[in-house]
Amino acid sequence: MVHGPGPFLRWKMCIAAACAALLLAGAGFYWLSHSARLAALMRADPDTVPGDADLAAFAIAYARPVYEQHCASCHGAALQGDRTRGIPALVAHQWLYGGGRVAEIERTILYGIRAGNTKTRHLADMPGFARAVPYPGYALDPLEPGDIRDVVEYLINAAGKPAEADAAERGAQIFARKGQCFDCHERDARGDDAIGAPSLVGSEWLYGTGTRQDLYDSIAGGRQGSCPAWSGTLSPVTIRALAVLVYAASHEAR
Amino acid sequence: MSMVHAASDDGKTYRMEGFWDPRRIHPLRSMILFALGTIIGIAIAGYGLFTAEGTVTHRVPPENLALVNNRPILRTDFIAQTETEFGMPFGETSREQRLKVLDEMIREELFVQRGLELDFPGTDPDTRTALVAAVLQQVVAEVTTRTPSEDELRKFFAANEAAYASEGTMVLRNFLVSAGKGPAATELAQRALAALRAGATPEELRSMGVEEVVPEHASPEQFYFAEKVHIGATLFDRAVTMDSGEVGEPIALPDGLHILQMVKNTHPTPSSFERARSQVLSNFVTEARKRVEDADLRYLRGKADILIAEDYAADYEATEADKP
Repeated sequence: MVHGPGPFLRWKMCIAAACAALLLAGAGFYWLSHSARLAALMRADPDTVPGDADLAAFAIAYARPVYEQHCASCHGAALQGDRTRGIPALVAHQWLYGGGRVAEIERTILYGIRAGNTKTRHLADMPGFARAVPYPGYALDPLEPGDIRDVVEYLINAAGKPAEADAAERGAQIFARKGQCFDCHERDARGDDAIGAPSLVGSEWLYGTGTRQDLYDSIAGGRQGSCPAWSGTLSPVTIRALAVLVYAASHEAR
Repeated sequence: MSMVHAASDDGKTYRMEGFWDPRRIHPLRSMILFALGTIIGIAIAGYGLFTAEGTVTHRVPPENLALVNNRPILRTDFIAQTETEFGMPFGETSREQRLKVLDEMIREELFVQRGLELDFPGTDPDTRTALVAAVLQQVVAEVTTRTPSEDELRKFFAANEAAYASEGTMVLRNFLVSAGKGPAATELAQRALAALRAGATPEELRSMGVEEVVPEHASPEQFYFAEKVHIGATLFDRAVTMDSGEVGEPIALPDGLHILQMVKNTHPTPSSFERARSQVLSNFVTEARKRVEDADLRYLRGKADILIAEDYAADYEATEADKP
């Protein structure tokens, strides 16, 4: 003789089914809501996202594990960068490319710097002036050791530190003429964020700490830092979220 | 329910009873459904095959702004294009400006797709050049963007340590006893050599008839590579071995006897890995790119069917054999 479930068991089954249905509904609602927020993040004008507190908080939370997985190994867990390796701090006040808007950060993450794709940021390299050919592909004469030391004095002086006056004066001439430094770093040495030429008179340095030796090494050996392009590896919305995270971190630091 | 009959060509009659009853198997219904499915499938495939519109989706994913024949126009590209075109942040551009850019991007996409249909990559030299460059970039993109481990970089540095020494510099004086002085030149050179070793100044040597060769517009201190250009390989090879303060024996060249006085020779000093790291990384990536490019070309050659005309085949194969 076969018995069906008793009334108590039937109740328990009903409750379990209701719980499962609720759970499913909750998961569905969460998924829909999550997808809707991702879509909203992607459809928004990137520069307006930080102004929307909810959306920005969502983007930052979404991007944080991605940053830790893909970016922290170079830029550091606290986005502090590494001056010994020429990796910029993402909480700095100066930006190599652009002014630090979300759209500009997003473009750098998408296509990288010197990352070997047609949209990457790569308009110029820092020549190595202590080489027979400082910059392949562009006619530029090497500098003499004394010239480099003079330019270093000029930059030290421009940064407001004590420098050898005569050498600084000669260095200014070399900066503006023979070395053609002004072409990228501008006549006032404050750099050009359109091409990723850093300011040479600020307090923030990409390589080292702005000592005479650091400056000499950069001028003599040249610099060509790079950043991977994440387009194709990370989804567009993840990259947008990362850009918001970096923007937020850089503004918190102020 | 009335009985329905269908007559075939051979006069046989099929019963339609149960045709609409899904619980019963009916051969005619199966045949009709099969034929219907085939016709609909062929129609959809034909529509998709012969018109681009047949394959479109009607939903634009959030990361895209438009789909042109299923090719996406990315929002990020649209934003960058708008900012570039109007020279202001995207947020400050007007709706009209944005629509103008969108229209331009759609126009460009349409022309690009038309260009592919017309096989411009197969015929147009500029397109082919751009295509080669783009493929090469794509091939090396992974090694370009990969961050090598510190261990890999240190090994590379250790294998090429000499390349990371600082460039040597020297302050060198080059005195010339002109070949025009004839047989007396050797004797004059010996006297000049003795005088220099005794501490004579360039002015004192000039009074003896020995001139200092000074390159135009050059400072006394020069990098090795620059000094080599100034004085030539023969003199440089000797100079680089001299110690500071040393005066070398006369060296005979077609223009006369050269006496080198090394005022200061700063030999290249090996860099530490930490100091040379950025250069090591750059060289590491450059070498990796070259390796990947070569490997990719070998792969493409390997799977390609390349037939060379008889008058070139043997020579071409010989040059190919020489390649690594």
